[in-house]
Amino acid sequence: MTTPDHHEIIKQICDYMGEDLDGEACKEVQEHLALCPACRVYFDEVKKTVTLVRRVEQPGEKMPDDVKERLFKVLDLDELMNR
Amino acid sequence: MSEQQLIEKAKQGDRSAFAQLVNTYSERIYNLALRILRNREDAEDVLQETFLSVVKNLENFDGRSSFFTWIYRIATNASLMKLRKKKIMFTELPENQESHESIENKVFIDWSNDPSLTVQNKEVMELLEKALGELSEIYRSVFILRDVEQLSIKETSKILNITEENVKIRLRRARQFLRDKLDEYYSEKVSHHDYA
Repeated sequence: MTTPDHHEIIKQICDYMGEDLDGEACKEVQEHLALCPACRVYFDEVKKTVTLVRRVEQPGEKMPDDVKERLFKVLDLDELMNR
Repeated sequence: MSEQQLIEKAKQGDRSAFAQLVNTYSERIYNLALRILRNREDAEDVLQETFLSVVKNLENFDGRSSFFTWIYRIATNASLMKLRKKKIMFTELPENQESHESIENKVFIDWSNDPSLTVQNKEVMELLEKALGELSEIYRSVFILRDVEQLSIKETSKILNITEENVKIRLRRARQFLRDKLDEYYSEKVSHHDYA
């Protein structure tokens, strides 16, 4: 088996996070991460970034009542709101 | 009543069934549009456009994809259309971004465990919001659907009508772009601290 280069690993790290790699490639990334501190740091940083963005964006906003009212009005469903 | 039954009733003109579908999905659609567009007025426009389109096309919904995928596709397309009309200049992500900087020669500052990098940190929050706004729509939509809404690669590809391989490529670039923004912020913070 040939050793994957760092650039290829960087590419795969981002796929690996979403568990989008097939079995063999995933194993290769895991083995590389265990042995390469630089790639490990990169992996942890990408993971942290995604976690932070998700926390910024989730759970999202409660839809304002007036937005909902206007939506039901546009759809001609005013009397059925909240039923 | 199951969603399938509600859809069938709504198709036959049952307004109460349709209102239940609107109640179920409106907040999710509003938030999806808000995440893509980063503007409340535009998100409300997309919300209304989405459900008006559902009214118009519900009879053609054949159930081959789930109702969720179908309505998300309508809302995502409407959001992307709106974003394109605004003609905002986005940060270009170069084709060779994947090859990235030379990792072999780079000294990495590991900030992944730094306790100051949290969403309670206003600077970090603003930086991430700004960075998301700089991502062009093709990257932003994939990142929002996959990493924020946590849909699968398959669902994301169906909603955006692109291949799964394309989803992965765009997702990878978006993740790298956002990680690099945080890295720049952290490196600057550390260098200021060193010279202070």
